[in-house]
Parts: sequence; structure tokens; C-alpha cells
Amino acid sequence: MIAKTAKRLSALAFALVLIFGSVTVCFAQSFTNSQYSIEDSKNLLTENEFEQAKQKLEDANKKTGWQFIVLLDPEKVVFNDSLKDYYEENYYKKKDFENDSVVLAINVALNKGTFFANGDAAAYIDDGRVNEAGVKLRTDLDKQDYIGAINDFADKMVSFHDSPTAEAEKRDGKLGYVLKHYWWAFALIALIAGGATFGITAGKYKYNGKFNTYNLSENSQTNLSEKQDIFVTKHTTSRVIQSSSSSGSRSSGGSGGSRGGDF
Amino acid sequence: MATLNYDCPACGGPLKFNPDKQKFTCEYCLSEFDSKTVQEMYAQQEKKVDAEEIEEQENRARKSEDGEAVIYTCPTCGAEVMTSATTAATHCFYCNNPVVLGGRLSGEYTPDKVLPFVLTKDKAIEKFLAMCKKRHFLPKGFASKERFQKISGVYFPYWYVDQQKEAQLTATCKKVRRWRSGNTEYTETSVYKAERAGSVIIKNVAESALGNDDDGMLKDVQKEKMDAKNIKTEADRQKYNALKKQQAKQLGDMLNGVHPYDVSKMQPFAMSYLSGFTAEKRDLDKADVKQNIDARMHQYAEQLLKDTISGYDSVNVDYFNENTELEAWSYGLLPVWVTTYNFKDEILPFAINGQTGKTYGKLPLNPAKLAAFSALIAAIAFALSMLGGMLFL
Repeated sequence: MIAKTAKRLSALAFALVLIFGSVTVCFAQSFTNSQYSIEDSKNLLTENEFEQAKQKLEDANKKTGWQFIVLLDPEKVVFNDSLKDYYEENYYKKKDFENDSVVLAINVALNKGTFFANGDAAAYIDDGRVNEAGVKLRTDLDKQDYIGAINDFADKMVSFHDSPTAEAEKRDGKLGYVLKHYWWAFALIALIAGGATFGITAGKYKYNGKFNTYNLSENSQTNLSEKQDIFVTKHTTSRVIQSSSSSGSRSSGGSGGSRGGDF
Repeated sequence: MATLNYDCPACGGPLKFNPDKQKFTCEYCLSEFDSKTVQEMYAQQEKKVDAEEIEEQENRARKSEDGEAVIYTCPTCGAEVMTSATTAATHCFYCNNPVVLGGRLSGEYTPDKVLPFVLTKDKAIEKFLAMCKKRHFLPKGFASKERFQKISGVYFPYWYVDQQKEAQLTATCKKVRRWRSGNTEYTETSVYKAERAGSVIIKNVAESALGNDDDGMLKDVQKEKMDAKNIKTEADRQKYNALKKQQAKQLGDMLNGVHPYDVSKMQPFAMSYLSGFTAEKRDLDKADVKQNIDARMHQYAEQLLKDTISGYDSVNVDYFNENTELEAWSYGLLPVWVTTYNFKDEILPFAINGQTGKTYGKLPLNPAKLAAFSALIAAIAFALSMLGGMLFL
């Protein structure tokens, strides 16, 4: 009897464990494919919002070619200090996340967020854009509008991609960049070269031959009766030479440089 | 006008100076004579021509209506032929025999020296065509041998001047030394005053002795554009004068452009060298060219003294003075092969140094060809600058 009761209790306990365990699983939403990833460890998004966010990130990936990662209140991540390490370990080192990527992370407890871009995507975000996106995301965070933050993040990244910075243009295609920004200088050089060719050649045809061909050294003789060089004065001037400072660049692990900011 | 023919003593055919052989040859019996022999043979006749010239004083010369051309009688065929006022040797337009108008080069107009032609007509054409080969933008078919068969050898008159001068020069000279110590760059400038004095000898400074009013060489050109006889209105007169001025400039440029000559090869003047060629007598006196000569001599003397200052980074002349101590003028004839060609209503003269083959003159241009080439250069420059931009921007 006792044994029976014990069995029933253990079965009940096991069932409870299964029930509670399944509930725990239901609280953590996450989705990862090769284009984007969302980790919502505290279930900050409703199911509907989660689906919206997936769609938004999928669209943004299609438009930019960048991989999108959204980490909502990530556990086991000491914010700021180890977020990039977390990205390195969990995303970059996984094959599917080798490419250019942008990461948005929000910590509810700290009421703080951060985002950063890796690889070529980093070139699209200069200091001005970091501030611009930070202000927008801060507003969403203050309103605890997490889906709004994801949407704004995706929209901003798409808009940054569509109007690349000079640095991004260089990285995307040096030829396109130099042509877009310096075509006038090249055209001017070409015009000068073409014009000079035409002018000089036409001149050579107009004045075919050399003037002033008298050879003075062959037809002259000099006999000096007086030759003296008198020292008059000497003066010395000095100037300090400014040494050019070298600038270094920062890189993050194997994924290349990254750029981003907090909000 | 006293004229002179140099005929072959063997067959009576005309003798011409052959630049290739540096001898006189007869085109008919192929006899050859050196210049000394010919000069001896014709010494009497040349003297006679001089005497006749003084006696006649141009009595028989009839000025044409424009007041510049004169008429002479060809001693071979008797035809009356018109030449310009400065022509001293030419060919009869009827029998094509060479004629030397001896009187033109007598008395004060007798040249001191002559540099005989070294290049033959064929070689001159070859030089011209070789030069054309290097010019890739000439109109198609321009550089053909046939086109330049009318090239003529002309002896042009030049004044040659040698001067000995006493000159003094003072200049401020600077030596600059730079060095670095730490992050400081020092510049030490030492200033010196250089004084030079001495004598300079400058030789063989040449100026054309053919005046700007001469229209001899370009007479045909002028006639094609506008004949002096056709001037009826003031506008015509202005047009005519402008044309003459342009031609005179072309001629002057051309005569200076064919220099230099190796004047050490000049020979004492003998009328016989002119046989077979055209020759122009001078119409500019010493006084006419003295200003130009003096300016050039002054510049050369300053340059010579300045060249004796060395070892400085900069030399600025503060004072220069010179006095001419000795001066020698000589009047010489220099050989030039001359041709003119008509291209798109423009008549272009071209000259080839009769000694060295140096060419001078305006060449016609195919603008479409050159524009295409310039566009190609522009495209290459664009591509290269773009590549540079990709590397450095």
C-alpha cells in the first residue's frame, strides 16, 4: 500500500515536474536561422509581437544582406562587458553567422540597451548614426515598447544601408566610391591632359622646329681680369617640425571591426 | 641688268653646283669641275659684269608697275624675265637655265662668305618626308614626294657679327645649408657679393639681312592671295599690307628657324656657287639690324660673366655693364631649301637647312585625327587618375 502510494506520489511529482518544466520552456521564446535570430529570454514580446519581429528582421535581412540578432534581456550576459564575447561565442563562431551582422540587446533590469554592427556593416554606422539610432531606441525603451525598439532598429539599419557612409562606399566598391565623389577631379585631369595634348601637338605643327638655336658656349670665350667673392653676411633661421601622429584601429576578435553605441 | 651664265667649257650646257659632290657638273655631258677651276674660268666675265653694272646703273632695269619687280634678259634664250628686286640668282622661266644676276651682288652688296649647299634636292625632300613620317596628324596624302618636287634651293643673306667686349658684373649670391637637430630644422643662409670683370668674345651672331618689305621668296604666295595691281580701295590696301606683314613674319621666322649652321665651313664668296640655285641679295644694312644684334650681344655677355659664378644656390645680378672694344661684321649667304604648299586655301612656307637638314615651318594638321588622339589621352588620363584615386583616396 505504502509502495503504491509512493509510486503515485512519485508519478504525480514527475507529472508536476513535466508540467512546470513545460511552462518554463513556454516563457523563453527564441528563433534562429541563417538570416536572423531573436532571443526573448524573459518573454518580453507577446507571441504575436514575436512573429511580427521575425517578419521585420527577415525583411530587413533581405534588404540589407546583414544578419540581424536581437537579444532581449539576455541571461548569462553581463551587459556591455561580455555582450560582444557572447556574440562571438554563440553567433560568430557558428557558421551561419560569419557574415556582416547587426546586434541589438536590451536589458530590462538595467533599463539599458546597446547595439553594434560587425564586419562591413560597421562601416555604415558612423558616430552621427550611432547617436541618431540611440535617441530613437532610447525613446522606445523608455516606453517599454520592445517591439517598437526592434522595428525602429530594423528600419534604421535598412535606412543606413540604403544611404551608405563614405567609408561604407569605399568598402563596398572603391571604384564606385571614387567615381561618385571625385569624378569631377578625374574629368578635370582628363580635360587638361586631352587639351594639353591637342594644344602642344597643334603648336608643334604650327611651329615645327626650334628657335634660339645659337650655341653660346661654342661661339664664345671669356677671359676674366677680376674675380672675387666677398662674404657679406650669414643668418640662420629655425622651425619646429610637427611630427605626424599615427592613428590605430580597433578590432574585435575574428569578426573584424565593430561599431555601435549604448542608449 | 648684267647677267651671267656658267656654261660647260666642253659642251656649252649649263653648269650647276652639285652639293653632293661639292663640284660643278654639266647635266648634258656629265663633266665635273671644281669650284677653283670654274672661278678661274669665269673671273674675267664676273669682273665684266661688275663693270657693266656700275656703268649701267640699272639703266636697263625697268621697274614694273608695283615698283618692286625688275626685268632682265636671259643670256641663253633671250627671253625677258621678271624677278623681284632682291633676287640675285634664279632660273629662266622659259629655258630653265640657271642665271646669276651678277650686278645684284656687286659692290657693297658683295657677300663676304657663302656656305655652299650640302644637301641635294632629293636629300632635302627625303629629310622633309622623314620628318613628315614622325608627324602622325598630317592630312592623308600630304607627305608625297610629288608634292614637293617644286622645292627650290635659295641662298639667303645674313649678317654675321663678332664682338669683343669689356664687361663688369656684380651679383648677390646665396648659399643655403639646412640641417635638423631633434624636431627643429635649421636654415643657414650665407650671402656673398660676387664681382667679375674681363673681356668676352662672342662670335657668329647672325641676323637675317632680308628685310620685311621683301616679297621675293613669297612672291607667288602673295600673287595667289592678292596682286598689288588689283588694289583699288583703301580696304584692299589694308588687306594687302596685312598680308605682306604676315608673309614677312613667316619669312623672318623661317630664316631664323633653320639655324644653326656650321659657319666654319663657309667659303669666300664666289658668284659661281649660286649657279643652279636661287639667291637673294640683302636689303637690310648694318644699321637696320644693329639694334637686335646689340641686344643679343649684351644678353650673351651678361650670361657669360654670370656663368663664371658657381657654387651658389642662387645668383641675382645687381649690376652689369659692357663696352664693345672690337666688332667685325660679315655678310654671308646661307643655303636653305624652300617650298610652299597650298593647304585648304592657306599657303604654308617650309624651309630645310641646306647644310644640316634641319626643318622649320608650319605643317597642316588633321584636326579630327588629333581630336580623336587627344580624346584617347583624356580617357587614359581619366582611367589612370581613377586608379590613383582608388589607391590613395
